[in-house]
Amino acid sequence: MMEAQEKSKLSKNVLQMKFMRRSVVRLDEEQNAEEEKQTIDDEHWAYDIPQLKAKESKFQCEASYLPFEDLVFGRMSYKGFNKEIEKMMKEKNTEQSLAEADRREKEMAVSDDEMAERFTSLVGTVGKKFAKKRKKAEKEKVTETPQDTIDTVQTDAPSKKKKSKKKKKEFMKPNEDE
Amino acid sequence: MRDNPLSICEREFILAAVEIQKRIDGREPYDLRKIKITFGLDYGCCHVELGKTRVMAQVSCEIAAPKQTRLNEGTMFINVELSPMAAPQFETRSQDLNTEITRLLERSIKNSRCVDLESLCIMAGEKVWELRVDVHVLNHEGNILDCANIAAIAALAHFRRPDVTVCGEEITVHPADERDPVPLSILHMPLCVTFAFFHNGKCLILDPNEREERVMDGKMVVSMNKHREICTLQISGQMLLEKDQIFRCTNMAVKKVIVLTELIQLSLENDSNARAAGEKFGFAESVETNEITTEYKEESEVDMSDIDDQVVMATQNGNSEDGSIEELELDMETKVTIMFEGTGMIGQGGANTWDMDEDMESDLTEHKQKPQANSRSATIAKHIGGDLSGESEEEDTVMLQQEDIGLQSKPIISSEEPTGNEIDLTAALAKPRGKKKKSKHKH
Amino acid sequence: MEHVGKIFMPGDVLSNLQASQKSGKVVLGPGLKCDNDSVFVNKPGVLKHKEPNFYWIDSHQKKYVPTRGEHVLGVVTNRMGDVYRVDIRGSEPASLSFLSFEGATKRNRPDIKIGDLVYGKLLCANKDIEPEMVCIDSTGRSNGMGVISCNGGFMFTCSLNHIRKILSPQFNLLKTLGNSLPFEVAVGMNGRIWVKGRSIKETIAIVNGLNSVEYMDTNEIKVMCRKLLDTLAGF
Repeated sequence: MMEAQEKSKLSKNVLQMKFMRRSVVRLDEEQNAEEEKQTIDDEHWAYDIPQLKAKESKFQCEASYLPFEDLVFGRMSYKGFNKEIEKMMKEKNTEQSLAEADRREKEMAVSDDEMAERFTSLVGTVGKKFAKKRKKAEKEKVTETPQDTIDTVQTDAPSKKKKSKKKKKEFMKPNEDE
Repeated sequence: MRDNPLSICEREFILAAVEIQKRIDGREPYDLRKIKITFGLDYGCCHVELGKTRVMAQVSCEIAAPKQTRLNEGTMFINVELSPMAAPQFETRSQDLNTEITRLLERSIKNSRCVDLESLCIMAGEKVWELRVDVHVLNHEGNILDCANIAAIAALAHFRRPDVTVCGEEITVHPADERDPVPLSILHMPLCVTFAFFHNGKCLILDPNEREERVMDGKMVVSMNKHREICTLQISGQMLLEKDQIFRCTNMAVKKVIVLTELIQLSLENDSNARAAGEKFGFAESVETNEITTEYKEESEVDMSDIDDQVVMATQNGNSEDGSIEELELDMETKVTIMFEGTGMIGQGGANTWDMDEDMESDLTEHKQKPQANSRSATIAKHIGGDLSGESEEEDTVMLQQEDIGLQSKPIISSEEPTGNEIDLTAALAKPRGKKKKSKHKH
Repeated sequence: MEHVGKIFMPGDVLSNLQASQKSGKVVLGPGLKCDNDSVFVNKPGVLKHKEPNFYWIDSHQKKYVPTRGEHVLGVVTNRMGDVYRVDIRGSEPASLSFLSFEGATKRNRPDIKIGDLVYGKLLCANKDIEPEMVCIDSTGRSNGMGVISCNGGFMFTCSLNHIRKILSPQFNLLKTLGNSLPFEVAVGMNGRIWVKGRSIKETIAIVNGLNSVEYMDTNEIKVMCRKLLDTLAGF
């Protein structure tokens, strides 16, 4: 993560240019948010006793009412009194209804995680079913391949096998280093 | 602590509204705010609310030596306290305002000799009663002076000093259980009425509130009694007034003073009746329990007389509520009325019913229907309407009264489905009250 | 859980709060404070709960405590070099840089007089330093914030719980009035509301309407609104 961020850092000269203003603001904000996090962390240094540190508080405090009550934006206009505000209200409304629809859809539909979870439990049982067949098929294939497919397939299959082996080796490497 | 700043838009709006004789709180230019006078458990304690401005006055007395210049007269001392509780800015720079109010009260009450100080003499040249009037401003929403004056005068009239007998050189002060305390002799009641001037003195309004006081060019304070005697007159600010304008103001002030005097006397009477009958009195008793009293809404009078008719009706409904509006009294006379059982507390909040479950709501309404007999106290509340409105403008005025849709109608309304399109308005409106209402006139 | 909807006083201890199943955390809002493992109430009011794990106290309050991220309506009180002092009814005035307006540059300063109203968002609000306000969002657009044009319109104050009521999605007074009256409002979380109608009388009517609904429930508001519109239409 750190490396990636450092890479994307722009030079001072570029940032000083007029058109970069927005990204400067954005970067500043990101930095502010980070710093704030840091300060909050720092504020807690007094409590940094090992035993207390072990169990994290299960309460999270929030000073504003905003996350609790779904308050709407405070500027409103009606019957074309202030066109600009009205346009903004409309945009916000559509955004909100879209988000609402999304949320509802999510509620109704099965989420990816859920799907994955369900299938992991199935992997074992369903896997077995297919495993036999596959094994059978593989066995059959193993016996068949040397005879039937010689030219094209043969050249591919060994290379794949090699690659996977290589990968495995690569993956093992760091372990060995340690 | 810093003051609540006045924004440009408030200033401009108030000035523009005053020019067309409108005020933010829905009053006519020459209307006082709602006044409520309550007496405390002790004698000489009075609490006055003028709109949201609140002042408490307490009179006390002790025996002291007279002044060398007036050997056979008692003395009176007026002290005004502006605490930061009234308004945050009173902590630091309230000295000027404090002196101004103290001086005007002294001029109005002390210098007009409304209290017979000679009767406070116990032994000439040696011992007299020294009266002390402590005026505490509890909340500042403009026009502290008028409110303080009413409180001080009412407290003085309510006060009883211990009886004293003089036998040769010996002075006996009788405690209250031995002999009934004696009231002071109040000869007349001087009351202040404040006028605020705008647009170089062209527009004037009575009883300015805090925002209006900030915007005004200047003000004129007239202290008068009901016998049309001017006790004090002060003009301050940067504007020039015409002679006839001052006459007009004093004439207007007389009318207000007569009404106010009557109100004070009635509330005193009411208090003494309650004490005599052994009923509950004092402002602790007059406080409604289970009611929100800190920030209650005054009934709002929305004057929408000549808003153009382009307004599209949101809903097409029948003439059912039309009738109920028409049948309102046409009586424009100002009458001083006592409203028992807390009817003066219209709009006195009540629990917040917003966003509550149905069952909780019914729970609440049960509490609300508690017997209100204990609120029969020395509380007088009264709305002094525009008795000068004949003079100001005869126009179509329809006031939106909050109690029309008031809290009493809640059980009926809340039993309905919240999604229902039809709301039984008649149920909400058919609440006959002994309240004066201005209604629509057709010229 | 059984506490939800009940009234609590400062110092009361809460237990059995429902934690989120994912993170195992409970989010405590205004009026609640945690100390080690117990939760205390520090504002008097009604305990509210929102799924899955949000708890807070709904209380009556008039004093504004600046909170990060909230939209406020401020009055410019002073100008000090590059920043404006803005009164937001907090204990201290907020600072507002002249650059934090849409399209503002060092050359092109926004036209702001002392006493003007600004609608903005609190960028940071800390108990130890003065709050900072901005009138642009993170993309640099004003998005409804900025100076509120002062020709006409009136600003008034009300309690903070009333503001939250006005801004809640169920509040119907503005929408219903808006069906028949053209007007504009700006509602700040710091207890200030600015209203502008077509004329002074209409503005006063809306101000009074907004002021009087503090203790009404949805149905009462409906009735009041109906009546207000009827009177407006000249019944």
